[in-house]
Amino acid sequence: MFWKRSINKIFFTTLIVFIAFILFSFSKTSVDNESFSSSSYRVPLYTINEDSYVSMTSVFLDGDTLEEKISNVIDIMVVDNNKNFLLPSYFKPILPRGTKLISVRLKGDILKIVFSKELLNISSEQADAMIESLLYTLLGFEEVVGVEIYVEDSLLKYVPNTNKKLPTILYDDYGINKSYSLSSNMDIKKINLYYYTRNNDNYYLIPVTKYVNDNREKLEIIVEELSSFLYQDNLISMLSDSVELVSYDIKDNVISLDFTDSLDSLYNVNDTVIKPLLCSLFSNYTVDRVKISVDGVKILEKDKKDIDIY
Amino acid sequence: MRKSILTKREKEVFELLILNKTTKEIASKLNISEKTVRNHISNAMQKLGVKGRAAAVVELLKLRELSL
Repeated sequence: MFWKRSINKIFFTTLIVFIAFILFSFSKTSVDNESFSSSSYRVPLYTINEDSYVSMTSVFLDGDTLEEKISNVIDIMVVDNNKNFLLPSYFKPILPRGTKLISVRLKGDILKIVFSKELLNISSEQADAMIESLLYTLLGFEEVVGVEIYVEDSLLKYVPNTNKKLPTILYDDYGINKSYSLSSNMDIKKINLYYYTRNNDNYYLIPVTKYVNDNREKLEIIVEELSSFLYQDNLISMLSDSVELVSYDIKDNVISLDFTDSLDSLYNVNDTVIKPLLCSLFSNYTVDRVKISVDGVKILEKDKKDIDIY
Repeated sequence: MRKSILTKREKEVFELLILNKTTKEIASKLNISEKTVRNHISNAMQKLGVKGRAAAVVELLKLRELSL
């Protein structure tokens, strides 16, 4: 009798301890999952601002796989989605209301992305901006070099509701906020330029692909554009018009620029002022570094990997 | 499937135009007369509703009938 009671006590005590152990382990695992499951990471995002420029920003999102990350960022870009609040107030979502992401698949470095038919419910005036926003957002993921856009089962061959053709695969040479300053068919160059725009105290970059007639080297055109373009259409360049490019060299993945500067504005230049110039140069040339000097004296050296364009 | 705005030949002419080729050089390259080159350019401008080669090039770039 005594032994039987003891055994029962031992049994039930062991059972209780065992159950407690199981419960404790489970809850500990849950806590671990909550702490370490998905880390938030920064995702570049392109969408339209108040002036209808396709603009750059970044958002913090959760997601472990590329598919999850893309799904989360697409949600933010759809009009009237409950994630729109993640956008800065001066940006607007551009994908039509009700657009659903059907699937995402990476083939090598080409992303095949399939949307529901609501993607086509975009005005012809906004369709270009929509394609550019979508494309450059997706190209912001380092795994993605090119994008194929499908609507339901069909490859998108034209910008919706326009007769503008789309390449089968879109790459980063597609162009953004395209501007055409052509007076002839000679010496046509396509230049990527970065300007600032402003919303109250918030400055952020606007990329512009500009087509010009000019037989000079692209970086000469870039410097001239950014040092002469003070304020137009709410696009701002902070490079002083006192700055003049004297010489340049492109060698061993490095661009070297030597300026003369009548106002000495470059000597105290900070990253904010120089950023559009650096982003423009890195966008037009396959180089890793830019060196800037004034009258032969080096004042700045910047690597592409250290530039945060968002 | 939508038809291209330009004929194949018209597109060939403009692809050479934006490479700084003269009418004479285009004619030689495509083995056609200079007059025919000018006709192709005029026809394209008419289709695009523009006056001038530069305006035609802009429209064709916008439509992605041409790319750089």
